[in-house]
Amino acid sequence: MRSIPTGILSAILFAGFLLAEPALAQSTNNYGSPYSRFGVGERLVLTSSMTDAMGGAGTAMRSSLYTNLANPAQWADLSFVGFSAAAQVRGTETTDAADATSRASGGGVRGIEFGIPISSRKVGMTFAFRPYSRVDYRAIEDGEIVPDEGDTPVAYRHNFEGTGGLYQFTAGLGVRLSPAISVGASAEMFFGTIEYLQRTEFPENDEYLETRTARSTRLSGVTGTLGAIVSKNNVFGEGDAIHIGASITLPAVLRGDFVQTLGVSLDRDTIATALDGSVTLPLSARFGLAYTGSEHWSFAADILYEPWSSFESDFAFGGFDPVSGINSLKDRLRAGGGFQVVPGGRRRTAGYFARTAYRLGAYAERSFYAPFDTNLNTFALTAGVSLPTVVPAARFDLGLEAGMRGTTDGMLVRDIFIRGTATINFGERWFVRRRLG
Amino acid sequence: MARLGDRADNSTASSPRARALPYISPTALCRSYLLAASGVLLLLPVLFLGACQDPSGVGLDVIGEEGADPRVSVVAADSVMLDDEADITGGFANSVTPTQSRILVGATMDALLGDASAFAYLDVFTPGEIPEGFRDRTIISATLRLVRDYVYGDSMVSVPLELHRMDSEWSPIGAPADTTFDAGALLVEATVAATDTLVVLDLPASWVTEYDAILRSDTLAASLDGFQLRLPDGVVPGAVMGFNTMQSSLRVMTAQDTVDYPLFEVFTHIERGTAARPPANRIVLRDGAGETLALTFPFNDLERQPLANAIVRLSVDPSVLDEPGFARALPETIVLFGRTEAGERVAILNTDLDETTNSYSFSSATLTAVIQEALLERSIFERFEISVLSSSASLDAIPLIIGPEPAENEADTRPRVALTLVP
Repeated sequence: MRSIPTGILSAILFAGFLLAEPALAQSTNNYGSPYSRFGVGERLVLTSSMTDAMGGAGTAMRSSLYTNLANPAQWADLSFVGFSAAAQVRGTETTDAADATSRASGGGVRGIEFGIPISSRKVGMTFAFRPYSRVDYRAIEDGEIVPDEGDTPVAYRHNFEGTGGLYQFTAGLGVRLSPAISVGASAEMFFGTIEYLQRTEFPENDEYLETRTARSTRLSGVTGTLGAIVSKNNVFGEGDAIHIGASITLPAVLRGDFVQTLGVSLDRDTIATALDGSVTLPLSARFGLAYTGSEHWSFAADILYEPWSSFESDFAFGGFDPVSGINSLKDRLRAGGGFQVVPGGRRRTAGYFARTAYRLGAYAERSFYAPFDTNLNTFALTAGVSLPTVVPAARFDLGLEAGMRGTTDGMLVRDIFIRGTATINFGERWFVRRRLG
Repeated sequence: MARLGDRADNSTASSPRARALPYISPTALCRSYLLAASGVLLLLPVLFLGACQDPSGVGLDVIGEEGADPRVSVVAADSVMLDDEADITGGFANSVTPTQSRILVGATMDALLGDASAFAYLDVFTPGEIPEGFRDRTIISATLRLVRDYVYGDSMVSVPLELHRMDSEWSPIGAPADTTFDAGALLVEATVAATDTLVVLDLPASWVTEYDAILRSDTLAASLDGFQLRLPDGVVPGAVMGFNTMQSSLRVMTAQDTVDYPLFEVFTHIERGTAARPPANRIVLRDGAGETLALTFPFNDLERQPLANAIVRLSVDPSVLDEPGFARALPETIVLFGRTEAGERVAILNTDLDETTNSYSFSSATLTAVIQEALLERSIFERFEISVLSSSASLDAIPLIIGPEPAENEADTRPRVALTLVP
């Protein structure tokens, strides 16, 4: 067996650095949309750097290079030990009915994946870590208060901040039952902390202390995902293929606790009794279609459905309160599609830009929250390139996503967002038995 | 057929059989990995340093946080009483801790706040700078120069003073105001007006001769025990004078030199009689009477609330002290203490009189933190105490307003703490 190559070692070290992301996200000023207040936060979907640039249509898209997290059945196609790590930067501009705007930006880990072919193109195993949701809003409110009779007013500023989210760790197997059918299954572990923070400061008076009241909900739980892909070659012409895929992540019951604290950082004092309880995340069902016309181009389309109206929780979140009965959560529906073009196909001798893959896609989504009983929609374009390196199975992918969400009607806001993603994809063949000619 | 050194085909949909590939040197391999890693690493500063926000009220209605504005809750003290606490009236006349910036001498009758009498002890030390040759020249005179900065009682009277020598060592550190030290023979008698701003007492030639060499030596501290300044026995002139210890000195002269020896250790003995019953809804805290004002506040209804600021406020009624021809004053500075269950007294904060509002207000981040601990039921203090600042001896008094309970929409003038809470 070969020793672990330098590239894989470097990538693993890089992954170790990126695994500090939950702590880093907590400590840096990462902010985004006010809509991340709802439920367990803004839902994040990572399939692979290839299919994310194709409108997120990854349920039926097969690849021996990319570890596609949309469907565990796809892992049966792995022929390389692959490692992928992605980082993202994002910017959001939020506008309200009065045309006031707020800008926020941030960044962080998009995901880390590690795939191992147990038997090349027959059985593959994958491990992945990625964020499931993200809470990253911030808004301010200014005011004045008179401390005592006859005193001069003192200005204060409320900072309402949401941080945290849930993370998802995946471990699973894909198996090719026949040349046309692949199935897969994975275990999903969710964990994370969602925190709503009210930070009140008095910027013009040193005698006033900044107060921080945090409501933190810590959750963890396990569920599973099942998937299948059916393929048929030579459908419309020689060398083409149609793939139909489906996957379902079962509802997840997360257990956890809620605590309200006062103070700063490690000096927090609990000011309300901790509550134990559970949260039930709804199932996530995906159906997709992919068509590979030739070695030069591919097309894929996907539908995703999550019945958030069946969300259950003992704890209060944005848009949901079991005590008062508030429930602004609706079923989520997302449709996306895209295509990829590789001018040089699989020719190793083609020029650099001919071996580069170009991707374009789009998606539309009805959000899982409906504040003030108003359904909110998201429309976005995606694009990306996959840059080859001197190692054939290693590629450097860049992706871009730009879109709009919400409306400025009433008390709602409209987000215009742009996200850039960079992904390293390493692939190397391990466990190769040397043969002497 | 694959050859040794050939690599397997790594293309996405190629045959699993190994094919011959172009040779890639280890250097080129490392370079390609480094190039890819560099590209991602270049993003890291953007990820972690570029994160920023331009916060505003946009989206506040979407977030839905309401009803969390700071509010002020004024809590009146539920217990206000005088308790015993010894006055510390000694210290050092320079910047060494504990500092004592005033000594008192005199006696007066006072039907309102109780009769008062005081006498003082003081010594001197060698100044830091001495004229060249001073130590070789004979001292020809020594004069005690006392700068008056305080009067209690009838300022128009004359006050007879006696200056006695001290023949044994004494220490003012930690001594309560009722302490006395044995004094020696009389050195000087003088009568001064209570309004005089400078009192000069010439030491006798015999004393100058006796201490000439000592005053010019390095052994002054060990060899000179200082003086006692007092009234003649049984005399009640009607005023108590206060002298600033940091501005007063022993002036020593030779034929060529004039050297001022600053005061060093100082102490005042004070005795106060029983005060009259104060007016209704008033309580009077007297400096020099061994008293402290003890307060407790009921925080039961406010437990576990975040506190941004706390102001402890005492309103005073200066008219209680008014009497034509008799000078009484409110103290300039008072001190807020916390008393632990073990009996330890911890100074929290000083504050000065606000003459505009006739009140004393304590407010600081430290006080807020102390009261926040009380709201979290973790306070180490079982009560608060108020005393006059001890580093400036006086006979001042605080006539505190303790009632009545205000009507609705009326300002509360009782001892109170105004809490800015952020629910």
